[in-house]
Amino acid sequence: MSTYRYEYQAGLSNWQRAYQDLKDSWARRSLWIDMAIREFNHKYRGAGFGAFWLTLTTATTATGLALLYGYLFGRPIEEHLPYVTCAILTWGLITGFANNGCAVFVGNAHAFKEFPLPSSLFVFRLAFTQVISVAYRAIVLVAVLLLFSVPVTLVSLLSLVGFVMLVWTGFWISLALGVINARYRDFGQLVSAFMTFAFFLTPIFWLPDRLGAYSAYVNLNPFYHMIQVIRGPILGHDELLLHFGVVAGFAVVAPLIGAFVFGKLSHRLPYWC
Amino acid sequence: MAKIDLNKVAVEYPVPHMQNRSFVGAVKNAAIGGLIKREKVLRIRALDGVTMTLSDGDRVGLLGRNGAGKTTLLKTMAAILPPTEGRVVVEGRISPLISMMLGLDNEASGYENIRIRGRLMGFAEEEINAVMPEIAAFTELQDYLDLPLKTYSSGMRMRLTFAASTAFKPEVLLLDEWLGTGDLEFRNKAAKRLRELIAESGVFVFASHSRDLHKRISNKGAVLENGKLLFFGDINDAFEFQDARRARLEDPSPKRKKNKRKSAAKKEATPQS
Repeated sequence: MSTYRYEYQAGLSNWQRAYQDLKDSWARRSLWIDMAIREFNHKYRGAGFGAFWLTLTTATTATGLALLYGYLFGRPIEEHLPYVTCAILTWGLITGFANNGCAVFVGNAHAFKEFPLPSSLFVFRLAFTQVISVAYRAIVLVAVLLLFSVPVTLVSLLSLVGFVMLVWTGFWISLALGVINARYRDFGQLVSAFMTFAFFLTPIFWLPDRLGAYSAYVNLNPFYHMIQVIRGPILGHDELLLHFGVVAGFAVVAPLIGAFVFGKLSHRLPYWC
Repeated sequence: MAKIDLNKVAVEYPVPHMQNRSFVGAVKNAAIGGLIKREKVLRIRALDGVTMTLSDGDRVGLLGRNGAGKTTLLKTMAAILPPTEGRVVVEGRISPLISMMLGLDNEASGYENIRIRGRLMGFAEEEINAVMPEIAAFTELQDYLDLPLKTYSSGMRMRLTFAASTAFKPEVLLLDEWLGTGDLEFRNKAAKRLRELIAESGVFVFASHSRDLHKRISNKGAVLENGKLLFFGDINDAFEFQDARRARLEDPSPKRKKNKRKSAAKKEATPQS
């Protein structure tokens, strides 16, 4: 009796197939880890600094924003640069998942439409690519923290927990965004436009208390909490419990959303892409 | 033991651009729902009620003109395409000899690309290590295997992908058109290897327009027309059925007579398993 078995019954729910898809992808992690590393190397091959361009871009963006807005808000650079760098790093992770998540199935259709590969494999690959790129960009953060000798305590390590929660949430949200964008091709444009808008609405390069009477409304912005689970532990913040509570909530809800959309509709992916 | 069981399998492709692919449009429609009649989506029925059971020893030739549904049928068997109706069960490890160039890395060496291909086909590292020397010998590329793939000629590339793709023994082998690769000497060698692979597989399904190949390889024939399985049985009977049907359709006799014959053909068409 063979151990390999594929069964699919149309009309019945797709849950079993979706579950198998995720399970197969996890079992084939050596494949997507290898694919992610190769993709990464390809993207930066021939560039002078290779993938360190990512580091450089992060450094210039953070420095530019910190210098300008530090001056405008009258904050010293040694305070504002670490503040902005933490946020830029986190924001890159969030938008990475949002924008690439939308394209994850449409962009890889040539592979799973021609060859039997679990479609969620590409979401795993995306998540791993995000982790690699954060690693390159985190060099800037480490440099800034050393430069201004920001004390690193045990509490700072909590930001690693925050990072894991964000990657986990990002994986499941990408799974849902990818399916929606496969069906409605303008969805990705919508998401990308929204993320640009959200960039300015989120306390990345400005401080919430500058909003004065409205500063409490910042707590309604989900991206603020996502940034604070990284920035809060490193730079110190009183409301850590609130931020971690909210992000933990996302970490619970995101798998439900991702599994629902993917489980309900993933069998249509080869037809839509 | 390998087995393929298809029960009333149908595949319907939506025609792209005939479907509402806009998220903004869908929201608009939902908002004014009911006021405007929903546009009808045009669909192509690529497979229509296909029922067949294949078991160990079956060497099935898929016969039919372009667009008859041969490739779509192979894709449903390969677990690439979940059908829109019916049930598919495949027991045994599936190996579709399709998209042999998928995932190749131009910068990586020949050895690495063999590994990439093996991973893509779902084989563990130890399994790949085990067949590596045999693949390397078969390609006859020798020292070239240490060089990046971009230095290869197209013929050398084909040698590599063919050798890697056919190195693993599957239980269910699916082939869309015969693989003719490289120079005459290698072509003969490749044909021999492919025949061995077929002989060792449990179930082999092969789509081709060449009767010559089918006569040599297949022992059963499945005649497809417009997505319907018209005949399934002995390969020679399948040819006869095809010839008879072609003659009937080309018969310039009066319309009434032709219709009568057509209905007779339909009766004959009930698939046998």
